[in-house]
This record gives sequence, C-alpha cells and structure tokens, in this order.
Amino acid sequence: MDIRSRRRRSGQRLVVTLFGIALLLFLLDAVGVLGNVLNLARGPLAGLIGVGSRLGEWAGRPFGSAETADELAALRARVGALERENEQLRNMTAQVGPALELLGRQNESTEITRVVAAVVGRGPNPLFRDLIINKGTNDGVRVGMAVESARGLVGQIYRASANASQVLLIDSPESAIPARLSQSRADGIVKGGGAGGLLVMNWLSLEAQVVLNDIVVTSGLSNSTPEERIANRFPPGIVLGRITDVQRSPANLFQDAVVQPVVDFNSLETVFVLTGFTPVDNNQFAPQTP
Amino acid sequence: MLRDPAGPTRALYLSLIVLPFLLAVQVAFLAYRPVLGVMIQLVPACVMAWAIGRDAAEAAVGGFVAGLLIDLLSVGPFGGTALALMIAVWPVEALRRRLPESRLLLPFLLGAVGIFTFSLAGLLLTRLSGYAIPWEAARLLLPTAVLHTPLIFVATVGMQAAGRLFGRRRVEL
Repeated sequence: MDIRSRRRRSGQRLVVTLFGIALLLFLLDAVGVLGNVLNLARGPLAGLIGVGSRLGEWAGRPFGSAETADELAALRARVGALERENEQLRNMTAQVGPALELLGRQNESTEITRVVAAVVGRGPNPLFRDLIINKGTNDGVRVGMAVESARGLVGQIYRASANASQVLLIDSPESAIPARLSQSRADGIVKGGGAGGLLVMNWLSLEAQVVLNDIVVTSGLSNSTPEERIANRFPPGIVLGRITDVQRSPANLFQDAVVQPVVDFNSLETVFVLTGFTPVDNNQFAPQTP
Repeated sequence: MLRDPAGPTRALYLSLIVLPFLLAVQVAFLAYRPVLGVMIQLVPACVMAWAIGRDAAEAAVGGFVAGLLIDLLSVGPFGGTALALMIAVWPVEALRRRLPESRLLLPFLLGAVGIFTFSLAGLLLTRLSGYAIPWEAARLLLPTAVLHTPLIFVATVGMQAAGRLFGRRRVEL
C-alpha cells in the first residue's frame, strides 16, 4: 500500500470518527450528561464574540464625531426609558382605583436588584431566538433569572458560564411566561413562536374581555408544574407587549391573543439581569406531602 | 472523493484557526442584519462552499468543528449542528459528481441544496432531542437556502482562488 492510499484511508477514517463523536455528543447532551463541562469552552468563545461585537459597533458607527454617536446612544436610551415609564403608568392606571379601594390594600412593590450587561451577540442557530451577554456566574448571574431592557422583558438566562450567559428571548419557542392583561386582569401564558412565528398569549379565559392594544405584563405567578410553582422567576408588572389580535372561538375552552413585543430585539445593546427580588410565595399552594 | 489525501487532517487544523473568527463575525455582526427576515449564516455557508470548491471530506471535517462551535453558543442540542452540517455535505458531493462542470451554476444549485439539507436536518435533530420547535419554522427552509446562494458562490470562488494560490502543486523533475 503506497503513502497516498494510506493517507486517503486515514482521511476517511477521520471523517467517520468525527461523525461518531458528533453523534455521541448529541446523545450525551440529550440525556443531560454533558452539563457544565461545556461551560469551560463557552467562556473563551464568548470573549472572542465580545471582541467581534466591539469591532462591529466600531464599523457600524455613524460617520461623524464620537460625541455625536454618544449623544445618539444617550437619546435612544432616554426614549426607551420614557416609553417604558409610559407603559408602566398606563398599567398602574388600570390597576389602581377600583381594585385597591375594594381590597383596601397598598400596592406592594418588590425590591429588585439588577446587574447591567452588554449584549455581545445573537445565537447562531436561527431555530432559536437568543442573545449572548457579557455577564456570567462571576457577576451573580444564574440560570433562570429574568432579563429586561429599558422598555420591557427581554427573556431569561438559559445558560451561564463564568463571564458570559445566553438569554432565551421571550419570542423563542422554548419560552413560556406567566402574564396578565392590564385592563381585564386576566391571566395567561405568553409563549414564543420562534422563527417565523408569533408571540401568543394562551390560556385566556373565554369570559375575559380582551381588547386590542391592551398591555401585557408579567403576572408574578408561577407556571403550573410543581417545580415551577416553587421557583418563580419573574417579578410582576414587567411589560411584555401589546395585544394586536384576538383568536376566540366558542368551540374552544380558552381564547388566544397575539402579542406584539415592546422590545426591539434587533437593537438591544444593554440589558438588566434581575439578580434578586422578593417573589410571590406560592409554596402554600404546593401539594402537601404527608 | 478525496482530491488531496492529507486534506481532512489539514482541514481540521485550518478549521480550528479560521472558523471561530468567522463565527464571531456571524454572531456579532451579521446576526443583526437579517436579509428579508432570514438570518445570514456565514459559517454553514463557508462549509458548503468548501464542499463545492474543494472537497467533501475536508468540508465534513470543517462542518464538525463549525457545528460544535455553533452549538457552544446556541440554545439547541450540543452536537446537532455538527451532525446536520456533516450530513448536508454528502448530497452536495453526490450531485457534484453527477452534474456537468459549471463554475457559475453549480455553486448556486449545490449551495441551495446544501443549506436546505443542513437546515432540514438541523430542524429534525432539534425536534428529535425534545425542543418544541414549531413546524412553521420549516416555511423558512426554502427562502434560507435561496438567500444563501450568492454568499456561497462568492465563498466558493474565493476558496478556489485561495486553493490556486496556496495549494500544493505537483512538481515534475
């Protein structure tokens, strides 16, 4: 056997071996064996993406002085903050008055601590909707924490390595967030549609009055599974979006509403990770074990 | 299939050096500039160009490295993209052997076939591993394949030119 044919066979063997390794990794990840092992590799790679992001910002900067670019960024942030304030005021208008007078309770606000993070990239898999941020477990970020921007809820931490994290956006198909309508106070679950899909609020009672342009906020309640009931991740009152369409049929037990997110995920530069808040205590509703 | 017997081994080293930078460009720059609602996937496009312009076995090795790098940064199942890219290389190679040589049409046609196969395999593998990706995502497969063809054409031409410049040449003594 000559050198050329030996090299050819070794090349073919390499391809088959790599295919086998990829298949093995796929199966190991499916059964959850890989766990945090991969986080060791994610850190340096996210660092490289961060450098790329800064170069991208530099390349995409508008022509003119650095002061102009800074001023533009500051004005954008100000507009975002004002829009958010407006949404919150509208939400409060719907909340205060009848409900508080009837119950005679004060509107309790939860204390929230936040970590500011820069968005360094978007996930490369178009089937999912996710972001990469430059803060990780070293900064107190943990899996499951809520992430918001100046305008409203962005998503939640899906994976966290030492210095970077992946954020699953609210319009990703894997995302499901307990939500409430501002006006009718009806509860439901906002689920993402992913690539080519819509953000939809499911499980709305047929009796609920769902009106167009109503604001959807997080309810602060937890999902229905026992595990989720204990670990509530989203504080109440964070704006998710507005109702743009209602799908109601008497044949169904519930109605659905299409939600337009308030956050423009393509222009996100800075986000806040909610590292601590006082959640609604749902443990009292958990099934009691004898 | 193997034009250069030592190619796959060399492709492994080359991928480890070049592909992280291409991925950084994709994630930090191109991901924010979708074309007609389709996210441009520079790294898979380069793997397909590698299969068209160079060699399928080399491209499969590049696809393995590229897929694992993509999976490290994405929410999906680890290893799924690597498998999808390695699978997508084979129809490209099979068609290239059967179709007449054409420097203009072949990269467009094979590029579309490659990206379509890659996206379809990725969708199936992701669903297979339990992720709730809706079937509506399949509507984007064809537009994704078509919109990537100009990029694959440019990458193929560039790869062939680089091969002519830096590739090994037979020397007759």
